[in-house]
Amino acid sequence: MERMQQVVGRARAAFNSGRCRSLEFRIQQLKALERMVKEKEREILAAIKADLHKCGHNAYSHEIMGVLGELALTMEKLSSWAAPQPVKRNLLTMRDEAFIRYEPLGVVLIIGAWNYPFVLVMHPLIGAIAAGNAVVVKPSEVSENTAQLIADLLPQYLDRELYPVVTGGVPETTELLKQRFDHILYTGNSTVGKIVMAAAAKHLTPVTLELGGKSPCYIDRDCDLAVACRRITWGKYMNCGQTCIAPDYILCDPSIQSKVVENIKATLQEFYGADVKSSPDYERIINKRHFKRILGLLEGQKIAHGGETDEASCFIAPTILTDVSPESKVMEEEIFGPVLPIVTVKSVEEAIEFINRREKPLALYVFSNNKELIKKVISETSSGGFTGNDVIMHFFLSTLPFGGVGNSGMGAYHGKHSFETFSHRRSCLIKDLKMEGTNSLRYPPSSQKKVDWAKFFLLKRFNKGQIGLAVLALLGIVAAVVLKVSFG
Amino acid sequence: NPYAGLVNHLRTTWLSRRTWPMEYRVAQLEALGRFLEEKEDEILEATTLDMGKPRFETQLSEIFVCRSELNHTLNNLSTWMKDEHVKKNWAMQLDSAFIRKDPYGVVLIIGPWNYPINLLLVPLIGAIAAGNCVIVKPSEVSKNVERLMAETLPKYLDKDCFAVVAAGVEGTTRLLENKFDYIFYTGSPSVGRVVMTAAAKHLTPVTLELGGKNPCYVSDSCHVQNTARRLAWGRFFNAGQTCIAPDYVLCSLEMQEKLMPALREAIAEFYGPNPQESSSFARIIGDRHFQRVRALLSSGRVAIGGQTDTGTHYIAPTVLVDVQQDDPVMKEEIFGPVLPILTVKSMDDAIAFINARERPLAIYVFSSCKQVVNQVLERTSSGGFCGNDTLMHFTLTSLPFGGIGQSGLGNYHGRFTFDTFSHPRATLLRGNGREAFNKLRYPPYEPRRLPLLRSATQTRRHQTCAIL
Repeated sequence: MERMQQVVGRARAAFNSGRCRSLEFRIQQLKALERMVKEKEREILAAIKADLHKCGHNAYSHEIMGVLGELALTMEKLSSWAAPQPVKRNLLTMRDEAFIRYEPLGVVLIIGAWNYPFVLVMHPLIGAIAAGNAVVVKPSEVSENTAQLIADLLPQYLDRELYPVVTGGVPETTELLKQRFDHILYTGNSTVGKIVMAAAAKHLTPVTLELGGKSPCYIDRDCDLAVACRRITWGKYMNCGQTCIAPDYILCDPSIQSKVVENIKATLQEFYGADVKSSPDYERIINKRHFKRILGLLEGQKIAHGGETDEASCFIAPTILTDVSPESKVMEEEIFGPVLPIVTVKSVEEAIEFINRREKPLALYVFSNNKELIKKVISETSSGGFTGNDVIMHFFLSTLPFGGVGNSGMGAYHGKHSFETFSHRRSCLIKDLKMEGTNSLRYPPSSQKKVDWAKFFLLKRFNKGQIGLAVLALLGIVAAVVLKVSFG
Repeated sequence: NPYAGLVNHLRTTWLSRRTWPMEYRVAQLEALGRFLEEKEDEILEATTLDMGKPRFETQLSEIFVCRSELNHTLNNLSTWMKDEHVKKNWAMQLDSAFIRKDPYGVVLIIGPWNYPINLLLVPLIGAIAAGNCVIVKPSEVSKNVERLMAETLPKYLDKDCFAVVAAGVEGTTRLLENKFDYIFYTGSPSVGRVVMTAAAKHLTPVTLELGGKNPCYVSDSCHVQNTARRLAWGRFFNAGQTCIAPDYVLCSLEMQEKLMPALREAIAEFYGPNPQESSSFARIIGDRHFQRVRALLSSGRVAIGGQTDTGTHYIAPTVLVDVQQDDPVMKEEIFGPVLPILTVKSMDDAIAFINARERPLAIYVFSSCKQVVNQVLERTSSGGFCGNDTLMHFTLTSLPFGGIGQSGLGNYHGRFTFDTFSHPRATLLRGNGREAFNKLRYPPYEPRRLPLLRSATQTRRHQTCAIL
């Protein structure tokens, strides 16, 4: 396991060499990454297909398109994101330079997940490179084909010392986590999230944890049920339900439960045809372990649709469960599979109370024509993110920070938020060695006069807008001169 | 768990959403303002009893800072609470996309003893402003302030939402076993690790304001007297017990010779011929720290000061020279009125010296040459940076205050405190229409749809025009 120490040590030495500081270098690496994604598209799609039985178009739109978009955005905006940001000054610092510098953290660790094995490594990697860090990448071993591909490809396109890829399972990851990093971004489940944070605590390493939970979906009686169910069907069954922000379960009034089932059934037919198993657009469960786990959740449940399985191919048909009891197993853990339980509630208040009794989810969805109702749910609940009248989509707007809260995670990324996650905001104040006059009021020995002047300078008693900046500056200079005369 | 009842009580009130409306938060903040005004004398008394803090220093660094932050927060709260609308892509032009600032819930603030008012109340201001319920745990080391906080603060704030817990190490450990929705800790790196480890059990996000040894490089070209004055002020304020105090000086031998008389003059100017008699000089907080700092006086050679008085925990403003990097005074954060000077041959050596050590909370440079200041700034890493002065970057609320690496994680002050205690929630509100457009994303998948989908949702890299 000395290997881990060496890999991280090399990355640190490479970081300390300073070569990833310049924006030109970072953009050059991002460009190389872009070339990799374009040139090796077929290989990437093939690996994802091997891991998740995902068809090419699907894999392209889920994993590759987003990455290319993120790369374009980052390269476009990097110079403005990385520029020092001047800040508002007070009377005392009026003549000084005050700004925030965005600086790299150092060596960061990115631990990927298996459900979107390419994009969940690439998105953070783009932000980490853009922010000027060295990055150790650890793709999930569960999606072994994509992990191996990433391990093969990255060294072909990127600086090998700065951006090493480490493969392996639990023992390798445990060893990796003993090393010292300057930030760790982990995507996965809450249990391992706690282990990652505890390991990070030993080195006082900041972390971003993209975890999960059960993302509720409330369907109001007043909504376009056909549209709602189509969107829910899309979000729930894409990637065979193995999406961290999939609508995990539905909350709705008992009077519309059967209509919801009808609409989803109709949409499933539209999407996957009569024989789902033979549709090229429907994925499979990642492995036997998860297959068995999800199968276990169906026990004792009322299956309104689906329920067919085939262990050999890890196939589970799109399934809907009705009249599900809140205490049942399927309502205890994140399903992460193509099983959609419907729990009936009599009102939106009951739905809100139901949601608030549980851990804060990564995403929350509400379908309603009533804008006030949607606002009410947002205001009275907490979640990582929220989409009204659709599912998943807040993930696709890179100006929105993507992350969890409470058990569903901490920190966020995407777009500029990735850059900021992997940067240190360093406060800088540059003063003049002259102009000692204003300083005298803070030096001992003290006096009531000094206290009064200090109050004038430090307490924001007046509305600056009323006075105007010019007058303020004049006041500042006058005050400085007066002080120099009286105390200098 | 002795505190489970208290935490549950706060959580129950939290669920009732009492702290959410702006009017409520403003009322609580104004009550905090009344506490600072009405109990000013008690605050001055308590800090004097705890560490002989000169009243002027308490006014400046504790009361004024809190009032300033309070006013700034009250002036801007409605703006900060507003939903932050974000730029949308083509596909979402008709949607509403914004970041909602949600409170976290029940948060814990653990304060230190060196600025026991400021470092406890400024985070509290932000936590209240952000709509949370808060438990504050003042440091048991600054006993008088702890008593004042525990007995008096609850009289001003809503008891169902805000509580003060007085506890030592044992009690704090039990307190940390409870689940909080955010923990804000100011103190040492070693306890910072303990706090973060406890937080990890509940996946609680944290801000840790820690410390380290803040280097101060003095270049050969500088205004010596002004430098000495600013350096002495920063080092000896609060008898050196400041997390961002300049911990040690790096300079050339020539500069050291020039600095000595200048430092002597500044110290005399500030504290008179006998600092022990000055009402402007604080004392070390307690026996343990007094012994600890006194032991560091044996490093190198005492050039200025060095007198101590065990009875009053007095250590004179002291400057040490001939200090080596392996001396005891260079092994830990000094947190006392002792300023070691180490000589270096050049700015490059100074930078190398700084970079060989843990990243500090602050780095200082004194130079009349702009390039020198910029070089040190660009070639080092630290929480914050101040050129040609000490401590002052702390007073500008528009600058985020925090550390990096061993000196901390997260930041606060001004709006950053509000942001620290808020969860930025991504919100997208769509309509029922344009379902035809959505067809692009539904199965069965047709590759010909991809280009349209791509152009609607992606950012295109602007091409530079060859002609222009």
